[in-house]
Amino acid sequence: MPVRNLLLFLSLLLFNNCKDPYDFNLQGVTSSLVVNGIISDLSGPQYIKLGTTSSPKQSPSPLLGALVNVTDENGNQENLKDLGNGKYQLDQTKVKGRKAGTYLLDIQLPDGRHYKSSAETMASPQAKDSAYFTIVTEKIVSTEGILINNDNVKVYLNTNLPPESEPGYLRWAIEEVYCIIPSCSPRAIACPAFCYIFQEVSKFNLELIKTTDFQSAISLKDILLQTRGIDYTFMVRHFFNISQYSMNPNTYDYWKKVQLLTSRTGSIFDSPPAIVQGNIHNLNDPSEPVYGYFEASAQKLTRLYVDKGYIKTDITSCAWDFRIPAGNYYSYCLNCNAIKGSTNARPDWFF
Amino acid sequence: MVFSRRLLFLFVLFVIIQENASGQKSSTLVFGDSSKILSGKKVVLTGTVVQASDRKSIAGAALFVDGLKYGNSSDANGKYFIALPPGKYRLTVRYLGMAPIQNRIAIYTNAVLNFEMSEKPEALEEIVVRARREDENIKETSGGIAKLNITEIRRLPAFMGEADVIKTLQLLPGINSVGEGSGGFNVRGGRIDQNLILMDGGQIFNSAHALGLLSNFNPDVVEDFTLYKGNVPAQFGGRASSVLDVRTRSGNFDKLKVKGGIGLVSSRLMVEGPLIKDKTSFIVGARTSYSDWILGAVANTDVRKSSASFYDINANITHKFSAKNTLSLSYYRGNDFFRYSNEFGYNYTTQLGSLKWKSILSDRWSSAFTAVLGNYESILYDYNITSARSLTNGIGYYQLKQNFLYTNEEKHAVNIGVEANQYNGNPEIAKPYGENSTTVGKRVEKDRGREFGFYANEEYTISKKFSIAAGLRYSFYQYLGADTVYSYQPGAVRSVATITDTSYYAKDHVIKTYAGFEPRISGRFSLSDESSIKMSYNRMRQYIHLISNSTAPTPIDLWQVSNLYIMPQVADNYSIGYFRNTKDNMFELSGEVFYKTTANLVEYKDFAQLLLNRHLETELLQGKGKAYGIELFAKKNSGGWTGWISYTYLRSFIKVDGAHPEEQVNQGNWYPTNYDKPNTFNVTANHKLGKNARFATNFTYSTGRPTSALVANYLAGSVAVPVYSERNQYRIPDYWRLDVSITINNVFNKIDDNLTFSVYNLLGRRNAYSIYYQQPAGAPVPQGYRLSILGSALPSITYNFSF
Repeated sequence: MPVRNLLLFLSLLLFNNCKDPYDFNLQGVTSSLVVNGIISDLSGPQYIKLGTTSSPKQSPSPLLGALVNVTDENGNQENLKDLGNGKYQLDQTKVKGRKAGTYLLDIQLPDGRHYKSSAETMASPQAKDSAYFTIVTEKIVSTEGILINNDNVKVYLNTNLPPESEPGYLRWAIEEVYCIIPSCSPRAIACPAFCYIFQEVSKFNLELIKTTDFQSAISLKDILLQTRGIDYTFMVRHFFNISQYSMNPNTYDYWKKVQLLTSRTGSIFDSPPAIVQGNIHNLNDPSEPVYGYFEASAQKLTRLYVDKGYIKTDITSCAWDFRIPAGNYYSYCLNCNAIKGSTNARPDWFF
Repeated sequence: MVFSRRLLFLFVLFVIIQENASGQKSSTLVFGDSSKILSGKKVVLTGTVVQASDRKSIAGAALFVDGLKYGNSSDANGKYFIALPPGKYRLTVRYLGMAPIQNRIAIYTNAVLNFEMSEKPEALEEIVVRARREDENIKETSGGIAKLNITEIRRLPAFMGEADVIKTLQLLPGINSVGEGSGGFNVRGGRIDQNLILMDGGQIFNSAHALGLLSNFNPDVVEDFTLYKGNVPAQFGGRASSVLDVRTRSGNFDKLKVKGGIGLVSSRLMVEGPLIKDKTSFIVGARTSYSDWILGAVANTDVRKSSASFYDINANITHKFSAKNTLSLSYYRGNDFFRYSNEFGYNYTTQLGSLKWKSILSDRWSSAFTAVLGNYESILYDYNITSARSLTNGIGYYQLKQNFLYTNEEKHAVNIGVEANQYNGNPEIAKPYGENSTTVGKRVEKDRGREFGFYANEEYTISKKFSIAAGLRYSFYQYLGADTVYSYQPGAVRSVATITDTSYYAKDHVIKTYAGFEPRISGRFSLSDESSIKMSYNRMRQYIHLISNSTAPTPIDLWQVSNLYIMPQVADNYSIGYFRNTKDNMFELSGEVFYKTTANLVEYKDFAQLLLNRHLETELLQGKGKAYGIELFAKKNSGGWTGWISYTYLRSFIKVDGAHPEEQVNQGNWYPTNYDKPNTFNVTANHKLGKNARFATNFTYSTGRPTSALVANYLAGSVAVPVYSERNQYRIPDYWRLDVSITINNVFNKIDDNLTFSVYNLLGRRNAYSIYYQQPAGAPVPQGYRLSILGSALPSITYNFSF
């Protein structure tokens, strides 16, 4: 809601507002199960992540050793592979994601606790997307008072909503994929392999749409999905994978609540914070808090890339320079496999 | 804190300084023959108190009979009665802003003595913080009443130099708010919609300008106000917590007068005078802000593209048909507008028109008839191109009230009357805004209701030691068509999924009725001439509710009348207090304890969607409320330093314990309300500096309000989702603030004027308005932030004039 900035406005009006970091002295924070995952109609492996909440200062810890399976409305059941980092993989050998399919997630923890999701039915994709980017230079003042030029890539979305037959619920998520060509010493027997890094973009303003809020078959244009600072990740080619998820009403409701929570700015217009209830519950103790959501949503992918040729900003490559001592290279040049989300397997669409 | 201790020390030091007020002396007036008096029988002195300039009656003028330490005050028509043994006395009449009158009288028979009071120039006035009879706080029957005169308010440091009724009220015990930038106020642990705010008898639904930084009462046209926070007389009803009765002035019947003020971001002007001398008067007061020049100077481009303004207009015409019949027509319009860059905007407007016919029917009976037409409308604009839209909502109402007042010397004051209010919720209308908007329009009709009140209230002075005020109000409410009413599956949680039937009712069809008695009783027992104990109980019913699911009230909040599912709120208020004056009423001391329960307090489900919702009842819950506390108050009325110290201990809780988990909050346990602030401490002080200047300061401290804290987080895809505690289990940091002002009178010799320099938040305290969480770019988890509206001292300068 745009009004979330009202307090900021009032504060600026009075010249001298402030925003200071603040932490409550929390006591007795309990650990709860967190489940997140999606089954979509895209082919290939799909993932469910299990973890436990910890303090607000820490990311959830991965939960290992659980038995996880997915069942569809036809009784097909498939056990998920434990990848070892709280990530469980559905290969879609027995259970395949498809529109109008209904799916149930079942989780058994090593301590015997048993959880199930509600049955989730997959809706259909309903909008036609296209994306584009612009490169802009924005001037900002640093904390030291120095004017700095910041070069950014802005990713925009145009989407054509379908004729209104029944409400459609759409969400967009963005993933960036880039390549690092690591430094290769002339003395090395073999150069290190290229790295392809997949990173989900951290977003606060979720892009959610209920189609009935808009005119039928309208085209929504120039939705800013992402502003990305230009850095070394643009040294070769930088992809943005934009996924449109078509959700059922319950899933939309979940994400709408998440949006309300993550868009709070402390103003008088903020809704009071609350706990977002997911769709997973403990079979033996329904009152146990379980967070997260297992969703079945149709997915549509739009891919956009920014070639290095578009970038005017100087980007230091990892190319070997005999004048530079080995210890002075950036760590990502020396060991790009250490970057989170890195793989040496080139995606077939990455060129 | 060191500074505040010093301030407190200085205040305490100076309040022990005493000064004696002096009055005019006159020769003795003789009534009757001393040789013909009957032993043991009292005589009655009666008359009226009026302003010499325009013959306007003065209500609340204090009359004292020296020697007897006894007196009375003039009633709403300026009439007074004093019964006293035959003999010789010195009679003094006082009223704030007027030169006191002192007469020696020798009275041996019933007699009439009228007083004409003249205004006392401000510059010559000693600082007397008093708007009523000096011992009224101990002699009046009811406790929990706060009365202030606009002169008192003007003497306190003000935000941007604008004297403000509601900001001043918040310095009194038992009254607070959720923070800077929030509209409304909370009285004794009640919600803001439980305050009936009246301007000349008409209801005000949003009393905030600039989202609560100022209120919509123009100090140039406000005559005085009374806040009934403990015992509310039966002639008032419709809200569960308190009544703020603001009276505006009628114009001068004798000569043209102009008054105004020029500030950095706002100015005001008031003109009054006779249309027909001694018969018809007018008064027009207006305020407007012009802050855009400041916005244009701010570096931030979004702010430069923004706009903010407010204005209000008060107008009144009063005509005296005779000495006994007066007709008064009043109009108020207040508007606020905000626009933040190309993102969003607000426009909200209050309009109020009222007609009042006052008639003196006999020596003992008078009548007041009031008719009011009011409307509140707010519009929220979303300027984002494709989603641009406007959302309008509001409420309109009509009110008729007939009150008869019977007074019998100083023993009886009886109010009898009837009141009718009709509330028409304006439809919520969402419209696409601009040519490029792709949103769709939507319209949701809102409910209508009609409320009647029949009442009788008597204040009876049984003896010098005992007095009692007893009243009974019977309120009767009808929820009216036209409306579509949904039926829900019995025993199930109300939701769209459990709708079983839909019924349509025609216009004015009575769909549901609520009614009940509202007893009001209070009593005073005088322990001595200087001290008394007062007790009160009252029940109040409320049929209209502010639906607001935000941290603080906002202009787009909905006013919702009771319907089939939203029951009336019913509050029972109990209080007992000890009141004591010392040093010939120079000091007022009081301590009050109160306890309040409320049934059907409106609460909200988590993530309630309140706007454009045809099934509002599916998002609302109703629970029980309780509040209790202690109020301590010490005030110094005269002398070099005047002012007060107040302390309030207050707790306010709510319990929502529905049959289903979805209808419970915090698992059905009691939890603190959003405005539960256990400790509040206020100090105000005023000091005359030489002949032409005045220094004023106030200090306020309160416990931070409750909030929910982030206790964990998890990732949902790429989004870090915060996990919050149960509702209101933590508190934001405590609030405190120090303000100062200096007023210099007679800047130019030819007119009555002054220049006020004030600094709001002198010590630059960064008081937390809220704690919220955001995920910094690149950080794995959200970070908590404390947001302050004012981060430093805010100086202002205002030039005030009158001629």
